[in-house]
Amino acid sequence: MTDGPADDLRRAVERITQGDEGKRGPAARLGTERAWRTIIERLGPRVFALVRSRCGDADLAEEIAQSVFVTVAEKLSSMTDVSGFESWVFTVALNRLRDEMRRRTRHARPSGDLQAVGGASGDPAFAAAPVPPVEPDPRIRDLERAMQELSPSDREIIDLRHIGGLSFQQMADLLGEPIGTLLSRHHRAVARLRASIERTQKGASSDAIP
Amino acid sequence: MQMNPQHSEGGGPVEGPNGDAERHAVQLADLAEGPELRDILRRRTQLLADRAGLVDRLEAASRGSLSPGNLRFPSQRTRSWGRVAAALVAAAIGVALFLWPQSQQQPPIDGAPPALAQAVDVGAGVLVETPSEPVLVSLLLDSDVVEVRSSALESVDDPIDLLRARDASYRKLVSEVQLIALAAQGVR
Repeated sequence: MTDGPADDLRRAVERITQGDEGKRGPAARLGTERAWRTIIERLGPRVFALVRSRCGDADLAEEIAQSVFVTVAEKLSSMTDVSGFESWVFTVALNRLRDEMRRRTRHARPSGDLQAVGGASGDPAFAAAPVPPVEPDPRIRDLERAMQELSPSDREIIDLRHIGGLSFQQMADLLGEPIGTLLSRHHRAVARLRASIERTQKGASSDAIP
Repeated sequence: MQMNPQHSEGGGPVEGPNGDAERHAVQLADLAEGPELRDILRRRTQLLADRAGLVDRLEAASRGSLSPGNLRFPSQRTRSWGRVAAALVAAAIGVALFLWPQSQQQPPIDGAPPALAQAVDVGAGVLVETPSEPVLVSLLLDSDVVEVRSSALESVDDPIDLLRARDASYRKLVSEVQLIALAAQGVR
């Protein structure tokens, strides 16, 4: 059996959480640095992409991602059970995003763009995000449009699965729902996404000049 | 850049008590998505994750906070001593300010705490000489960010302190910065 990214990540987390009892000096430090780099490489882009998808703001997403990894770095060495590490990281990220969205909503003027900060109802971390800049690939444009039409619940499941790259078990840990329920939610969300894309494409073809 | 691992390699271990359930879920998910939709979703994820230098910046921002056991990264000790010195100076200045007549203080900027408003009046980037080293204090009121940078750091662009200013110790750090900046105002 070959090692995959998940194995690299697990080993890196264990390297830091288990530490090097009694070891000091450059070698131990180098090992920790490498392990930390691996964790960032494996999770950083995924956390960033998920938050960016939610808030539609790349700069804010990077700020939140940085904040998340500062928290992870501070608490990682005291973790005793690393099995839920990935779920925990994404939980921290979504909580951080939720706090930021609420803060912005609180500070928004009455005429402000509430929609752009996640909407005034429901979970701000999974409300409809603002439309991203125009993407030249028409398939991506259709997908983005279809994502906007999904309910927050459907978006949540698609984002966690496809942008966060979480397994169903990790999503179950994060959301506190059984795998079967998540699978069903995912199936429905994908069906709606597919239907929405097809509607968009049909509309585009009927609008086309013969 | 490491991209989103998909499906069976997407994250944690598939084996274990729920390994069968996870495998079954992945198979059903694959069927539901189909190769075409999965390809578009993967492409969208790549676009969303595309950010030049992201991994380097995340690592730089967080490495100062990583302290398993007593391992410390090279620049952290210097930074810590700088903070201790800054805190001591701030405490001393705090006593002096307590004795400073209120009439000598300038009127506050609207919406800002009086001490912070005065500090902002000094302007972004104030060099304060502490007993151990000069400390560069920057205040950016509009973005809610308070930066404390030590000129002894390897790079003044090091974002670690900026991040920490937003963290749990935010309030304490802000009060220290206010005091340091006020002291700088007095020096000038």
